[in-house]
Amino acid sequence: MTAMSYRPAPADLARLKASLPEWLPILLGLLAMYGPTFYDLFHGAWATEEQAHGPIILALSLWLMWRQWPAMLAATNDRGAAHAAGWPLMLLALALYVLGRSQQILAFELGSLIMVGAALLLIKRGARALSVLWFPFFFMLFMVPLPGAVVSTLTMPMKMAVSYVTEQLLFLAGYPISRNGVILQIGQYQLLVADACAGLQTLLTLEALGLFYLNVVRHTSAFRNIWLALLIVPISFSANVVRVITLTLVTYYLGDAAGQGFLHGFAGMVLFITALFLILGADTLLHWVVRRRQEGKP
Amino acid sequence: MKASVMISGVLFALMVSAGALSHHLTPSIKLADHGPRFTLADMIPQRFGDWTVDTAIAPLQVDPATQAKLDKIYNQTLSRTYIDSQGQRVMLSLAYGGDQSDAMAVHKPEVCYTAQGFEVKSQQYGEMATPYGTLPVKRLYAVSGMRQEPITYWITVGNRAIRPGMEQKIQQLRYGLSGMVPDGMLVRVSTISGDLDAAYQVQDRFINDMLQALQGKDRVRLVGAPVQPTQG
Repeated sequence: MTAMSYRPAPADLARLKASLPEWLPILLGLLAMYGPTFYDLFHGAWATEEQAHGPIILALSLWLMWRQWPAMLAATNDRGAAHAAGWPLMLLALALYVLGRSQQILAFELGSLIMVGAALLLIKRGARALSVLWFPFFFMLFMVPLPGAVVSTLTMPMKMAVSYVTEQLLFLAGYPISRNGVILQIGQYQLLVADACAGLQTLLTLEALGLFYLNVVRHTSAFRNIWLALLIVPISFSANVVRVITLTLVTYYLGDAAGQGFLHGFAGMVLFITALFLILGADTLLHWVVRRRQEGKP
Repeated sequence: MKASVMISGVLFALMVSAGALSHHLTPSIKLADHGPRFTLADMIPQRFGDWTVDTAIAPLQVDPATQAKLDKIYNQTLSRTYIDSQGQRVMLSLAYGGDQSDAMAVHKPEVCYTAQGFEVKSQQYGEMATPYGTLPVKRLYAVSGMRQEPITYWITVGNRAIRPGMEQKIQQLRYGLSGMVPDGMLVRVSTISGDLDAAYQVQDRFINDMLQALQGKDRVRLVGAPVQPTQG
């Protein structure tokens, strides 16, 4: 992650050469630890639908780090900067890594990456460096999979809520729909609201992308930032309901095959487009509210 | 040498050792490859106590996508319906997985049932007395439309029957850190009934009859080795 900080402009080459003895061992160390991890991830978890956002989060984090790296270097110096918490954090992170990697606990393994990165910064550049780069590290948390127990606890109520709202809305619109737990019956068709439709993963992905957007555009108003981050939760839920309604209606009018085939993927697009418009709409509204509040001040 | 370069050297050594250590600690011995081979279908008798296999009812078939997923996780599965002389039917479902590391661990029925459209109305831990020790069972009550299905199940990891959840994780880790990949069994018994107490009693009777009919080592496969009181 550090290699990207030095742009290979000719003027910087000398500096790059000078920093090589210091940073090359760290890069190699990271490669020795996390090379196998990422190899396994790309051939396993990240190839599945549930964790497909993992590589995107990683890429965005690295980009954010690269973008803020010069600012971090400017804000710190390497003489006597080391923070006391660096080494204990490093050892803790390594222990977590060994346990996670050897026992296949992915949350530990990926969690340790964030901790190792933070510890390296603390040791090499001090606490100030971490406070400049806090967002990329926080953002990487979205890459760490939630424990299975948490996922299954949250998934079921979310599925029920999505099914319930879908049933109520379509019923109000006059469709012959009934619901039994998470099974929707429309006309002669029966639809099972699957785990993916619960939208937990969608929620996390949208929340991550929303935070990324906020960080990149750098709204100065804390009010706007916090409210938009909070509004993403109901937005993601609504987008999910729109997806399930779309799928239900597709099945109702075009049959089972259409609902399960190409149009299933299309409904996923509907979800993200809906969410995008809702987020942009909410942001515009918040912008307006902030302006009004400022104008109201004397 | 500059101090900062030395620090980098120390960090490099630490990180490479962590990599090597985790590689060294990764369990490689599969417990499943070390016991004698067995097949679930032969292990559980067609007829025991008052129970015989009810061939009139074909066990519920799962859709191909689910089957593919099951085949990936489990090495062997068995699903049968038994009937006694009173006409009481009990569904038995066994799943054996040779690899109980975290990614491949047996799936919990409360998750499977809800995924297939059931609503799990109640779930609680219980202890079932058998002549071969107390079993840490979990009792579920799943409902889908008119179908009411009380369920009793337990799991084993390695040679112990343990509660699903935290205890299962700890048992997996205990094996994993000693270099072994444990195998595991999921035993699920269910009936169609709205009367929970009566249903669980029938299920307990069925389980005890089945355990009595099994040979010693087959029984250990199903319920684990009897727990010694002195063992932590």
